[in-house]
Amino acid sequence: MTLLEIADLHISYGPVDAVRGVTLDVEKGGVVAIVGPNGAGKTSILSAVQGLVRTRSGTIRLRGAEITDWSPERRARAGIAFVPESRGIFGSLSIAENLSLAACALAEKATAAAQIERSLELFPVLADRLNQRASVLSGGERQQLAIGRALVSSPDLLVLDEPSLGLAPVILDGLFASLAALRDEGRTILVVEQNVSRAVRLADHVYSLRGGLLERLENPQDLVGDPAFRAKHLGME
Amino acid sequence: MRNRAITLVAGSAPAALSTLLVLVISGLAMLGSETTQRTAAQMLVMGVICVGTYIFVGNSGVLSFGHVVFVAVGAYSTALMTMEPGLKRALLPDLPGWIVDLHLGMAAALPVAGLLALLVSVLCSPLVLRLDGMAAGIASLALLISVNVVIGNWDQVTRGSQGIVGIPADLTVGTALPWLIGAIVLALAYQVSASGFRLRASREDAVAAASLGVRVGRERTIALVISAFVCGIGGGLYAHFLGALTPGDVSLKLTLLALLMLIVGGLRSLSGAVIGTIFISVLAELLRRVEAGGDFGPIALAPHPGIEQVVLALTLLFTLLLRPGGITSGRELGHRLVRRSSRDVETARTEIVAAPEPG
Repeated sequence: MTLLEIADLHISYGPVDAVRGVTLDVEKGGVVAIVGPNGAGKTSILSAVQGLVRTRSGTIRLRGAEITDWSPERRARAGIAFVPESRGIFGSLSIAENLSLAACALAEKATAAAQIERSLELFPVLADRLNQRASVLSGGERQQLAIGRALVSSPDLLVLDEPSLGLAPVILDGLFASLAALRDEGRTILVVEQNVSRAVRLADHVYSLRGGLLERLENPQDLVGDPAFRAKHLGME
Repeated sequence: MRNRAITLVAGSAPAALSTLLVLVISGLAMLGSETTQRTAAQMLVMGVICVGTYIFVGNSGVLSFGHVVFVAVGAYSTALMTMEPGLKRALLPDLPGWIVDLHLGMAAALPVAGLLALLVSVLCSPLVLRLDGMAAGIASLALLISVNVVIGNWDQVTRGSQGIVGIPADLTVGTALPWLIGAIVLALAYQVSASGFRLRASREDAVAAASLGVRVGRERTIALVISAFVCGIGGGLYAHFLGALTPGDVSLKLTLLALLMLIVGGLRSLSGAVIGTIFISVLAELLRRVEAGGDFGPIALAPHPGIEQVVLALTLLFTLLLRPGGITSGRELGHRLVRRSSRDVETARTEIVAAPEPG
């Protein structure tokens, strides 16, 4: 079953066409990764999925229902959880308050309590520091809180923007192990990532985005170490 | 259960300590001269207006120059409800008969005035809530100026720029105090509610809050109407403090005074609204005395015209430069008590979803 359908999506910022005719399906229970260099339009696609940018044309459907004109909060309540590149942590609130805030998208309190427990199991570092202000967390801990908080609403689709950004390799190991655990329990994930090798290991399908154009990569694991691929798709020499 | 009770007591500490502070200052003022008591009554009125403004501005982080609109609605409507019918007939001959015949006491008129201000806020909300930051501030200022022009030209109801006289000037420290305590309790109740919690999160990052399903516009509207209700009551008290109303009494000058109090006290806490009101009221009164000059015990002071405005402006300037979070730095009185009560991780774990109701 297709959970998310993006069809012929165009996004422009003034005269600049950031996304040009992107079409992408995310199957329920699948993990889709989009890789590409800075400025390729990756974040723009995710922002459009969450309703944070206005699209020029194209449609976005969730479980078959068109959501292109829905507000971000309506999409969140419909089952899309977005973890932005900036993490979106509320620094003046405690970790417990950050987690409980996400429960407002849920109708059942009991479900929220269970989901929070699940997030604390997945990221135990948060469990010991529930009363601390989120502003004192390190970059890796903030990312764990952002993902843990996104899971509280029990989303149908988890949307992650550059989860590895600014994190040390040792932190990344733990983070991607948690994401793999989420994948293995059947969560649907759409992730934008510059760390291609980790994205390839995590995802079922990998797409490359260059200049606003999307291209599906066949056998991406064979391409990770290929200098020609890295130069063409990631702008890396 | 015991932990929950402790959390509840600790959570109400800001209101309890703010109220205690107000009671102490008011009690001291009642021992003073008639002038001191009048200053204290004015402080209590400004307290209600500042707490009302804080409910929206402090919790949402959206700056508003327009809350004096709600004060104006409360002031004029209270005046029209509490003035002697004969006087109304003489001053405002074109006023509808049912308003002329309406004659309420202040205590009965104030909630009605609050509700009228609330209604006006509902009408204004689509205009103001679509905007953020500087745009919201400018839009609310435009609203204030527009409403002030309407008040200044609506001769049948407000008597235009001539203003209304003969409002019972019967406000005392004793009659104003319960309204300020009520405003503080209402502000805290909203602040600790699920809606207040969600709005305070959106204050920090509205996009992230919306991405979690928080209906930012709805939460802001709830804060705005509660805020307008309290400001409307503050306006009614203001009318009974002044005894006469002109459009100039509910203009940008009052807005700036209320914002000065909020910024100096600390825009982001209820305690800041109360402390800022007390601090600026006491400072302004001292400066007024210096301005007038005279003998202060062994010290004889020459008059210093204009010194009140200059020092108040400098106070605002130095606050913004040296302590942008105000006296309280955005913290509540008793915040250490709150932290201590919730330090236990297990308590937090069990209560983690008890605070916010599903929205």
